[in-house]
Amino acid sequence: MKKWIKAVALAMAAASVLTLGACKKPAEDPDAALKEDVLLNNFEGWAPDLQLARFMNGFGKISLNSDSQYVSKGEKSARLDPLGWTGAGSLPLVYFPTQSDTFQFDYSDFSYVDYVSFDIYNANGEEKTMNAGLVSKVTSIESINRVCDQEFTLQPGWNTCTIQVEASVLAITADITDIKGVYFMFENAHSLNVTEDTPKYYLDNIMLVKKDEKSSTEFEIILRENEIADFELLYQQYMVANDNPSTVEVVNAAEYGLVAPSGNKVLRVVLNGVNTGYWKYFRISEVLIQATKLNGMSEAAAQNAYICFETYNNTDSAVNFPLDFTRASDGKAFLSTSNNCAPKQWTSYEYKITDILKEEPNFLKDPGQFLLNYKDDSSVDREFFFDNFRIEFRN
Amino acid sequence: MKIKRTAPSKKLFAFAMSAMLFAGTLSIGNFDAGYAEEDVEFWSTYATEKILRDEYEMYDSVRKAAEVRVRACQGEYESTQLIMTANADVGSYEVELSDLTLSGGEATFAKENIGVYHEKYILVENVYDKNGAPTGWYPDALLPVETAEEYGENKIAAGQNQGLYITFNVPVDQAAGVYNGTMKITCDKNVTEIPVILTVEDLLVSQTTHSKSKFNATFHQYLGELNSTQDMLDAYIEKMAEYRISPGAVMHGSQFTTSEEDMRMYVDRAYELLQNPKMSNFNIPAFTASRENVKTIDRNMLTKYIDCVLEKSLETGFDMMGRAIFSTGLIDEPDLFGLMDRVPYVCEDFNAAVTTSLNNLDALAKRYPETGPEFVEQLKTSLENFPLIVSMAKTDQAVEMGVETFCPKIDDYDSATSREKYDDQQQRWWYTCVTPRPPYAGYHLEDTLISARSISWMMSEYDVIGNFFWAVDVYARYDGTNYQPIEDYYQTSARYPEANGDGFLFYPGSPYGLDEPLASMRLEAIRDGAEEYELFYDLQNAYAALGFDTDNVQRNISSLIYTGTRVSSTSENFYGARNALIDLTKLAKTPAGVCVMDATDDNYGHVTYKVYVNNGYDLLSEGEVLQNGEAYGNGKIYEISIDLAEKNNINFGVTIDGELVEFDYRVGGKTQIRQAEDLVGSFTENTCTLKVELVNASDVDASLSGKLVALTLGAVDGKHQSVNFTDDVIKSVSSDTKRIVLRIVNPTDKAIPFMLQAKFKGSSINLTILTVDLAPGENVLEVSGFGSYDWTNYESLERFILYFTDSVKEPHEAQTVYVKDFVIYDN
Repeated sequence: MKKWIKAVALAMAAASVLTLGACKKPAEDPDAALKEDVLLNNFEGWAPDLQLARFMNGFGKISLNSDSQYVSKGEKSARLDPLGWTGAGSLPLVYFPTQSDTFQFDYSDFSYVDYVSFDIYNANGEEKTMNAGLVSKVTSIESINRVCDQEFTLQPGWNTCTIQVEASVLAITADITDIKGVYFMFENAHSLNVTEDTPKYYLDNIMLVKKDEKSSTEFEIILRENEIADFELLYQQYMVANDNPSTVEVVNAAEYGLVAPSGNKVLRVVLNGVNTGYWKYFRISEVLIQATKLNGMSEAAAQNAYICFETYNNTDSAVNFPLDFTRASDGKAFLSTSNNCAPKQWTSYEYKITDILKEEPNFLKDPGQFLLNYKDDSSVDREFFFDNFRIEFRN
Repeated sequence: MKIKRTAPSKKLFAFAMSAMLFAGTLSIGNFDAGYAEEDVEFWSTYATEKILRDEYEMYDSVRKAAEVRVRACQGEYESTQLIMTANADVGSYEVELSDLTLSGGEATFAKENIGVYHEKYILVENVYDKNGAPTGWYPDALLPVETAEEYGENKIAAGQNQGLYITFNVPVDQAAGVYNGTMKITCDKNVTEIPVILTVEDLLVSQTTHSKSKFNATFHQYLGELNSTQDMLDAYIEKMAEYRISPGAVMHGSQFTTSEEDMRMYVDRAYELLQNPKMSNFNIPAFTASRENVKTIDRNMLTKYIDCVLEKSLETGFDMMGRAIFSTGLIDEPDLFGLMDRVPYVCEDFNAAVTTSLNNLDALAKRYPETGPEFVEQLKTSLENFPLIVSMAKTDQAVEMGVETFCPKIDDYDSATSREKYDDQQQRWWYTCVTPRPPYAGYHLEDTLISARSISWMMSEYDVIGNFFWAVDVYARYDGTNYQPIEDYYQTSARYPEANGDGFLFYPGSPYGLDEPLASMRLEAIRDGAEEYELFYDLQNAYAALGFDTDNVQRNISSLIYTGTRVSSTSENFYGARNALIDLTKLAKTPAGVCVMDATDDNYGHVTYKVYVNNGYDLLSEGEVLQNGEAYGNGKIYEISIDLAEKNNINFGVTIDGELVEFDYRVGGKTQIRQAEDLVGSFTENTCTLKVELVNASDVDASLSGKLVALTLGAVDGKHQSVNFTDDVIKSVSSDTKRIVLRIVNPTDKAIPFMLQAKFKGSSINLTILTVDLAPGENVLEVSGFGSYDWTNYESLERFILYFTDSVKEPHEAQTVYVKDFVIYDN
């Protein structure tokens, strides 16, 4: 029986009592420091402002700028020359951490953050788009989890942008008290080096703007019997992410001329045709996987259990869309399983859990995100639909 | 650790008093006035020393006069260090150089060819190598001093050392001779003039790097540089070439695809970089495929790349194929990471690709009709010799699987027996990383720079052409599973677990506004060693032209530094060996063609050199013309003998155009010889009964004379047969011991297993220092490497333990062995 998603929002109001002319002092607000606006980065010097910058996906180049026309606050700003890895066609990303042991600051508790603002100068003479958001987890120098992703259209010249911190959405996949950084992501420039023609921007004045009310910090994932992800419930859209050029969204199957294998909604993934030849993936969040019956399943129960889902390949050629299983503890994929999908039809996938355990005996204690892999070997966009990720127990 | 102040010299004190009189108003805490010159002690030391920031007394033996003195050849970089020990805070220091002028001549050595570097210190909190080195702040990154001034790092806290690493880049056409100049160092307005003396030898170090290497440079430089462009990678590779090391890939793997266009781009990039003769090779990239569910290389892509390289070679007339190597992470350390199942597939696919390209070569060559058949034949040979380098020690299994070019760890070349395994390899390669640890040579932070530098010496001696190091730019920290970010790219010494310095030899330059990385002292030592490799290359060629080889003399001078692949040396001894190398090379290249044909030691402290000189030239020794040379070919051979009990240097030379070109070399220190008569009371029971008596050697072996100590070992069951060897002379074994020689006679006709252990006062564990089989007859057993032991903890040697069995599982009958004598050689 379906249960509706129940989003539990905890509203907490700070209360203060002020007595005029009385000897009593007002009670101290234990969260007073958390409510103070924070200038996270103003890019006034290499250390710590650039030193802590985290490059990803072959970002390009970042340097200090002291040309005042490109400075919105203080004396300097960061010049960004985003390139991305040319071969892999990756989206150049840089994030600035919210905490540092070396420089002794910790602004990672976003319970009172209303929004993140930043000034960015588009020095390209035309509109440019970029994405920005928050880093919720750092697995390694090459792997982070992102939340609150927002797309910005930048006009030539200065733009003041804000990243809204939607706590209810953030709480789905992240811990709002432990946000690791603020990221900025751009288009691939298809260039090995910075040239006159590659895009450039100037970044300054990243602020964490606070509010008085504390955001809710809890979210309860509720699933149907044996469900992993059926995409009928809104929150599951936030459980799927792709760091490569693509569209990932939950849609009504009927709007695309399809019958959903289960319910009405399906996951639609459109892979942009970059044709790098590289294998890439989109992922289903480990937060969701760990909320399923997989987590903590006994080996006895796993004896006749299968992981199943359906894929609709809306192209004219067969495609293999392998599913990789990972460990949550280190994010490493330990098993890759084929998912050969014939064109223009739904294909069912199944994999016996005991076969997974042969490769990683601890999988049921430490199930990590699912990685759906695809080879980026097409120059045209390709559309796929996924549905009904589930556990099947068979006799 | 507090720095102990030295007593200031009277001269400095007087100068300081004078300075104070003219200083003006004295105000407390003002360094401008009241600053006394003795507050900074200047001293020099070898380029091979690591002077920790907070240590002082431990450097007493290597502290030298306050001068900059270097002996260098043309076309090489050579360095030294000047240390400033601050007894009071130094708010800032500046360095000013002058051109150097040739003594007795007009030539100058331009100051632009002198690099002065502010040594940056990295904290080593754990000494994983357990080599007795202290924890503390180790000098490594080298920041140009002008950059240190620009960024305000040119200051010294009271109680600390600040090292200046001074490098002379000697142009190939620099006139030989002695150059003099001055370095002025101003510490808070106090000026100290340091004399600079550079001796340039009339000997050119080849500008072509003849050794090969693969130092991967595509890990994480972009993290520290905030620059992932090809320009930045090029800057790293070009800097590496100046340090005589070659990269693996010349482009980051994510920068190119499998397209023809990208392949051409990669090959063109490699071609451009190879135009620098100091860069010796490049790696053809590997692409992954799958065959029978086993990961392997994509043979079709490899064929395409090889064909592309061949075509570039034909197009340019430059043999790129001869500079190509192939290695793949798919089978990196396959025996350690459970990847052996991939090895046969990779070997098969590699060989298939090579075969296909060999078949394609003629058709490719036809597109370039102007290319001569000899060049095509050369390309064919280069392709046939194109190596698939596999990072593992040789095993029969791997040979069966098709591996031809093994690349073991450096310790697998330690013994002659082990080295023989690789005799049939067309190219010999080796590598070092977390292991092996000292005394085996390597690049760890707590290891000596002699260790890093000696690797190229060993390569030359053991005919190992290739050196593999996995990364120069790990600007992250490996946690056992993933690489994690680090916050300070000039700290975090252990970026790979339990290995300080492993994986990085560069530091980011971008934070200092530089377009290239900072080098490290370890990288300087690597280059110095690579240049000495070229000197050996030159020496070997000069000897070969005269019909000789350098095996014997090379071992002779290298014995000052290492045995096998274990380093045991001092800086003084190292430079003694280097000077010997220079002198021998100079002598061999004179018209006199002076060559050391043989250098033997009878293991009783009697050293004999046989020296060849061409007809028409006199060989001098200690200024005297040697007589009675024996005719040999186009010259004569002379014997020069030394008894180390009386004399420790050997000297010989020839006069060329009125100038004496000589070889003056400290052969070794004194020897202590203990004959059987001296030793008879030195053996006691350990794990079996023992009877000791003095016997006539001729009664045991008619070929022997004198006396022997007979050790009759009682029968045992479940135990070893072993004896203690305690003698007063053993207590003199120390870090200054070059080697010991023990002669044991096996009277049987079968091999007897033998193991020698050392028991140190400061250790409860016995150290095994020799394991060998005693052949029938007299066995001359040598052990060296005492300088590399952890004497700080060991304190002193208490006794040796001699084992004459190798197993306790079976009973052993009584047996008798004989000890002839025991000799200790000092350094």
